[in-house]
Amino acid sequence: MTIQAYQTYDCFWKVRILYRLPQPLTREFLSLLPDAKATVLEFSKMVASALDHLTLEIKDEFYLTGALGGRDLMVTFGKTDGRWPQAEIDRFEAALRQGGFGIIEHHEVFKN
Amino acid sequence: MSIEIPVVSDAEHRRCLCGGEPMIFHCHHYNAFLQRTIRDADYIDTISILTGAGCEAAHSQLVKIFKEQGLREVDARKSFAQELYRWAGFGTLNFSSLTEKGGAVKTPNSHYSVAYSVKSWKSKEPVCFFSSGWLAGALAAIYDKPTGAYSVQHTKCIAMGNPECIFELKEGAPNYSIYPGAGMGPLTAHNVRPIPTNNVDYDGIFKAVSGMPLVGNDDGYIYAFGVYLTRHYANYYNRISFEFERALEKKFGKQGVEVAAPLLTEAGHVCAFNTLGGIMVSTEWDALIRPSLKTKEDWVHGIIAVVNTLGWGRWQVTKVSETMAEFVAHDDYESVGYLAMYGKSDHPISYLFQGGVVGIMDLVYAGDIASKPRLTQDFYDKLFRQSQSYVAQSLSSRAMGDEVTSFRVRKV
Repeated sequence: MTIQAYQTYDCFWKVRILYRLPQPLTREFLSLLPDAKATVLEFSKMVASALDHLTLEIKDEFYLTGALGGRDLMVTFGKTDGRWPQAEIDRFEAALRQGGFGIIEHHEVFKN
Repeated sequence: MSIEIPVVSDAEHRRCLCGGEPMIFHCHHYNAFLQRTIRDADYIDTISILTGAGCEAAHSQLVKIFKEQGLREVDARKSFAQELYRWAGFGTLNFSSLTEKGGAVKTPNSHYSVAYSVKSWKSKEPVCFFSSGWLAGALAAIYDKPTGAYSVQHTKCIAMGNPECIFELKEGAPNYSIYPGAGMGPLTAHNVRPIPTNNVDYDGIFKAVSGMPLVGNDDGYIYAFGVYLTRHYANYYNRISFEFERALEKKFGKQGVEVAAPLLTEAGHVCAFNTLGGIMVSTEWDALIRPSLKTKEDWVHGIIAVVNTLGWGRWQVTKVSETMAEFVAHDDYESVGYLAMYGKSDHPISYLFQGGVVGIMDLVYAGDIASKPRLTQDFYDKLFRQSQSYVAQSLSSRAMGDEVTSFRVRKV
């Protein structure tokens, strides 16, 4: 199993990585990042075919969004200070590895 | 004490009101592009327009809210104004140093300047005209003064490379245009049109997106759908767009309108590309809308369903295929604002709507947004500048007295 990671930048030049998981995201993922502020929007209660939507955030560290049941995690790291947020990425990816999604394969850097 | 922003949803008209002001979502790409488009016309006094429109919005809104909520104490009013500004995604302001005579405000968080910076637009001048005017209008409302009671100088700006923005206010004659406030504008009873069969749950999406917590964070920024949003003033966009057009018309006659129209329509393309495109490649879209989409036409219906939550009025797509579509807007915010500000127009003025619907067709059919392309400047240029895939033809205009505003969009 492999997580495909595609790195880019968000509109404010924060480092953003799209992690494509080998298996669907579930609520158990929340336990991997217990310090993060979690918000689940229960879209499935409002639209029949919809999935619920997860947001996880540790201020100035990372901001994660993803569909529960989907495979894409969009994660924006750090602040808008132009610093490469390696420590934040490492901490997040360590948690991701604990989730049993497999190794992380990073792909080319895109620029906006 | 927590401060609650008095937001009223007018679902019947697909609008959202706060202190009598229609509030609408737009992202930093549109805000910066529209402002730069207007500022590029350096032969007219656009700073006066941009600042005056900000003053108009803040003053009209806060006077009404202070009255409705019984806020009489200056400190309470200052706290409310700060919170409103942060909530709306404009950044942060601290009013504590301001007095009835004026004073200076410094902030490291300012939507417009950061928008310019992240777009790598170097500016030789301060760019937070909206914030300048908003501060002047807010301070006048706080001290029960009429609009235009303060002059304002934006002396330092993040967009110029400074670490913070600085605004200096002084009691006295305004150095910007004074506008009277347009309020809610004249609305219609929506005669909802039949639409083609599709797989999109319009009502469910309206309920779900309307309930999302889209408010400013501690730094006064709203991050959602991959872009930075503002809960901006419809009357601000309307005032700056139409005053820009009128100033060009005054200077160049009808040719001025012919110059302004494509510029304002391109701002609509920018909005569609970044805000609507950003929504369609977001994880929120993946969760809420994408699972129900079976055809490209469903994608058009899906994004129209989301647009109906943005406060822009009720949008409908009444015909849609790859070659042609027709879009109807009931009480589009541009027409409502124009009628309130100037009365009936002699030409269509719904530039955001026009650029928006062309942009939707371009994204869905020409840009294959379903494949999640990266929304880069190169992709924008390819889609909207290097080739023209779709064109819009005005069918009716609410601002000209018709029941609705509508466009036919066809493939070139």
